[in-house]
Amino acid sequence: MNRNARFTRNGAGRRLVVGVPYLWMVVFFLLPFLILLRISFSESRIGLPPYTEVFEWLGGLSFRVLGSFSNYQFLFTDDLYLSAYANSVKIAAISTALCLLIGYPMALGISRVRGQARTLLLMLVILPFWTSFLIRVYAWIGLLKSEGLINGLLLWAGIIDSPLALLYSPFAVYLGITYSYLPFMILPLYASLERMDGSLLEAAADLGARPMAVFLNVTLPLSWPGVIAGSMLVFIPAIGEFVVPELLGGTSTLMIGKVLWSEFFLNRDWPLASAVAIIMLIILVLPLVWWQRHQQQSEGDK
Amino acid sequence: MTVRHPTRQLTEPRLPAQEMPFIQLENLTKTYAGAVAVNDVSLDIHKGELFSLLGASGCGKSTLLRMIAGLVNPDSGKIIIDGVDMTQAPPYERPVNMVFQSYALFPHMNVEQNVGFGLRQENIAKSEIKDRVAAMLELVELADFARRKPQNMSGGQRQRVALARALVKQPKVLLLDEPLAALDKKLRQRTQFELVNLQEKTGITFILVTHDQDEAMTMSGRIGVMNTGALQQIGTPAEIYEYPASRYVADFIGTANMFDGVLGREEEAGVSIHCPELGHDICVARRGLAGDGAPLTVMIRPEKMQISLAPGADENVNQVIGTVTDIGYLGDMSIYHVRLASGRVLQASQLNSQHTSERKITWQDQVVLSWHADNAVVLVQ
Repeated sequence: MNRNARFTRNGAGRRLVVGVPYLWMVVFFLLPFLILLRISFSESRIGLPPYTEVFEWLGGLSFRVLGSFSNYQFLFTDDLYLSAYANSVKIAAISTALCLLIGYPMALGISRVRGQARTLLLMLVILPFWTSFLIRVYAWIGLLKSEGLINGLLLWAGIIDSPLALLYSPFAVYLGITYSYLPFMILPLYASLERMDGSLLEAAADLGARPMAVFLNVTLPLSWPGVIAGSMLVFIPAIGEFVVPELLGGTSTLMIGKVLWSEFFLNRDWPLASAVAIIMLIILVLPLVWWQRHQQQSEGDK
Repeated sequence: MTVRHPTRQLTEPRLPAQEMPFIQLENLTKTYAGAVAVNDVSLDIHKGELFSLLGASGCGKSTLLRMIAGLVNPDSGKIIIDGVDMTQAPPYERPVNMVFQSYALFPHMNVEQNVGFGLRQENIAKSEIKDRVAAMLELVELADFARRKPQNMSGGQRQRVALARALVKQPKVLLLDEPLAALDKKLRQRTQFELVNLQEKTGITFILVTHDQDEAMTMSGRIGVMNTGALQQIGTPAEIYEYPASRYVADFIGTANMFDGVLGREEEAGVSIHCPELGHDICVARRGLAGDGAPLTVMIRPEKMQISLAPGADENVNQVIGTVTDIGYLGDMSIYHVRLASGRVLQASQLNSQHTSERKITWQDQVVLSWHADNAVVLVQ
């Protein structure tokens, strides 16, 4: 009796613990997604809501489909959208690579120091989060603009004669994204490097591997999960990035986040904006699925 | 009183004498944040020897081994391997390979790749690597496991992979850091003999670090006993057991009955030593004793004492009388705790050579412990 009572209580507790995140995902992710999906099949109109119905109820169980794929068709006929997608993927990929190149040595360095110094270095990585993302991107405007700190310094030192056009350039976008997302690369890399058994590195050296060979044959392959996780954490948000290209990028840097924003708020074409968002989601889901499969494979190995 | 050098008591011949030691450690010292890990250790190891560094945890034996491997840099001193000064050489340039206590097998490589790792670092043809790896896996009886990942293997199998990975490099010296500590008792005993056979087969010099005295005694040609970073005694297992150089070694290796005494007059059979705890003087065969009236320690191993119900007639035998307070039956032998009149408890052991359920000696019996003058050892340190 007693044991039975406890069992059901445990069962209820477990359902609650598992249920809360599921409920959260349904309310704040699945439902908005379904709404978005529905709007993407409708047509824009002037009024409230600014889109047409997709289904018309005819009473009972029968209904008529009014929606169409016209928005998606439009996306693939207009070069603007395709090049914006391609450009977003390119910028996100290059920024991810830059984050990896800068972040890996940093993560490795942090994982190799001990005690207080390590805590301090980790703090320095996390510290930027204490300031709003928006404000930090704004700060780059002050640094990069023609009469900004960097140009001022270069002019004063006599290295350049006229200010460089740093701001409103692809360079500024790469810089801004790499800067903003670097901690998301460093932290998972650090986690996987810190876990690594130091005796493996000693064993490799003992077996005749020079430092570079130790890195390529042992350190890098064993930190691979960290590399993948960090790259995902940078690549996924970078693709849809809006703030950085909006504030630091010129009119020439076309990113899908900006297109989405202008379709929504300038053109008020909710259905087209929804279709843009759905396609973006698909682009993002593909690498996620690949990652998950990779995870399962490596777990299957163990 | 002069302090004897630990090696002066040697009674057994050393291993094959050689013109030049294969490995020479000279005055090695290592300090970690003010704490001395290895303190001025000098040691010569000969070619083809199986040498054990034995000591309690934290005695510096692992640090010493890691210095030979090049994983720890000594603060001062020299490491010479086969005539070449290797003190400053990085680990990947030393003709030395190590079996790590945790085995340190690469989890992302299968057995074959693990064993071949060291060879791939050299300029060796792929076909030769393949052949040597296959031969080595055959030697450690893991040929069927070539494609297995180390995570999917038992402790004993992993230990053999680690061994194969180090041996395939054909090192001049193989270093083993507690290689059997992770194995269960039965497997450990079997592996001890396998390791010795492997050492004899390959002729490679083995240096073994262990905290297990049975392991060191069974396997080694010579043992170096370490304590607080210093070598206490170097000798064959028998030398170290029978003639320990210090109280520490006597106490660390095996069981020892030790009591304080004062050196007395010389007699025919040896010297007489006054031991208040025993109640009367005892006679000890002389072994390099110096000084008169000097305080010293007498040590007798439990199995060197005869336990009997009636006193013997031999005058050259030391005798003390006591009461049996405890008996430990171990199957092959029994251990008796005997309380003397002074309150001191001695330990004596006797083989249970007769198949009988009835014990001759039992609790509260009054017994005589007797031993020959030869069987006690005098310690001055």
